Amino acid sequence: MPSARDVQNRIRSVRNIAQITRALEAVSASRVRRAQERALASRNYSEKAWEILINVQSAIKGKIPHPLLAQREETKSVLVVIITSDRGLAGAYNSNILRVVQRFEERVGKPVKYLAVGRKGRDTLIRMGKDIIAEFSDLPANPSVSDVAPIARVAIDTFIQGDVDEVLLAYTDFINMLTQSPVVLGWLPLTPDSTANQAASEYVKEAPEVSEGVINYEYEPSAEGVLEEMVPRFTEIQLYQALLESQASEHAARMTAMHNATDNASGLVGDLTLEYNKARQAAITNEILDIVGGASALESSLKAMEKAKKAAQVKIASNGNGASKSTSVADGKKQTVATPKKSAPKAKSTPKKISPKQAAKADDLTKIEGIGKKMAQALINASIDTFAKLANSSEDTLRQAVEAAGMRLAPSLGTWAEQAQYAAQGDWDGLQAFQDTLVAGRRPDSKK
Amino acid sequence: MPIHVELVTQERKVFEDTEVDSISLPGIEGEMGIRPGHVSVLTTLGFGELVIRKGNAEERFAIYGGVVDVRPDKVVVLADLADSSFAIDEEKARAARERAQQLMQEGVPDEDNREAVLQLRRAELQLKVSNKVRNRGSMMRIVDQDDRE
Repeated sequence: MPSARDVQNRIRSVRNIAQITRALEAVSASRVRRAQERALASRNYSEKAWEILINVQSAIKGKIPHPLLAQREETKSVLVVIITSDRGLAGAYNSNILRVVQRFEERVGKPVKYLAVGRKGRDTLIRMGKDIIAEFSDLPANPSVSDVAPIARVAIDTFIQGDVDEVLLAYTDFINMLTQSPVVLGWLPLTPDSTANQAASEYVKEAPEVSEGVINYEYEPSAEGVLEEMVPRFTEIQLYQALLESQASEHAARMTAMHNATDNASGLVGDLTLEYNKARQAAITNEILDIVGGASALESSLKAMEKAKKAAQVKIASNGNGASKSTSVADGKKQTVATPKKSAPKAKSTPKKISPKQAAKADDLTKIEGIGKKMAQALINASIDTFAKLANSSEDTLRQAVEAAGMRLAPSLGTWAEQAQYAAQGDWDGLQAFQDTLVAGRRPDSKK
Repeated sequence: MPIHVELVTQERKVFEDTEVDSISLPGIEGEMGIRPGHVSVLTTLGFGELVIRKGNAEERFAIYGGVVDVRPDKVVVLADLADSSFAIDEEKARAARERAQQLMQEGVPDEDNREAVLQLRRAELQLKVSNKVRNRGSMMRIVDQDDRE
């Protein structure tokens, strides 16, 4: 599964694409409106012109009044003028018309030459290795009839010179915003009965109906005069109209394609956002699991510590230190998770050293002459912590206690019990008087 | 038998009516009057006024070249340009005429010159037609409103 950051990057790039496609859609939407207006405006004129041309052609008897109306006895080769766009990103617009042309070529069974209008068609035809006689691109967005004149010139010349016997127009008919259909139109000679009709009838644009009964036209001033002016112009108009229809179709196709692309992009953004949220949630869940795991590990080690401490306190209690036990247990209950280290050494040191607090509860043994602080501590460690106990202790017991503490025997040791006797009774004056008789804690009569 | 008339330019369909009584138009060889049952004629158009009559009403257009396909029951006018005679702005036409005359006097290159001649002819025809309309006073029209601009 990709990380949340990867997904976020993809979302960002898809958003950027959507922005571009949305802009392209907007551009196409404004262009298609103008192109559509132009195509529809001149459609009427070109259809009428086409109708007149077909009617004139079908009315011909005997001598053909204009070379563009002359049907060849045999069609040996065909020129296809194919109108595509210069730019891509127009959905299936270009591929549709190219596919139709390709199918047409397969069916017609005669050599087909091409005149490519638009870069996309040219590129594809070159790739397919077709015979391209000319190529036009970069036509203006708002073409005039004079813009298509050179294209018509090349096609008409090729036809008149006899290089090809028929010229067809392949373009995309603009039906409405959503529908554009590729069509093939028999263009030269101007006849309703072209090769296209036979070879690719499903794509052929219907020729206008020929009026019932052949019309016997009179021409003013003369047939040659009228047709010479009319036929080339009306022929050009057909190409012009095909170009306008194609341009409107291109913009409509691009608009639809870009609209779909924008929709797809926002759909993709939705999907990716879901994926991103999943990835994000997974990351959060993992973090929580880490924390919970860490906490429970800590807790169990804490419990073990407390157990150890309790065991230690029980040991103290069994040593007969009741006071110490009760305070320690109270302390242990108050212990928080945060302070296990602080409590641990205290618990450990308790058996060896009695805290100053506990010592204060005992009597101040240093009042006895000859007992210093160290000596007092040694006695306390031997559980001789009150004057009463000291008074009742024999000289041997004291000597053992001092030796257990690793200290030198004090010469005043023999008088401690006697001094303690006074202190235990609270007879401080008596003690003072007795101490006054001593020299450095010893009886003056003692020689030692 | 009425006539079906269509007047179409490259930009739009200017006029269509299926029940017209008569038409007069400026053929290349002179004015043509067409009534139902006219013989089929294909002719080019010059500069002039196209008049379509229907009962008491009529429509007038200044047209500048084109082709007309006349059949017994149908007339299709493919005009290069067409202005409704009722919608001509005389001020503008006069200004256009002056501009064109000036251009021709200055002796511009060939291409522009032809354009200038066309402009001049157009402006002159506009003035002529609108003069005529003004002199004849008000008349009934086939189309109710002037929605052609």
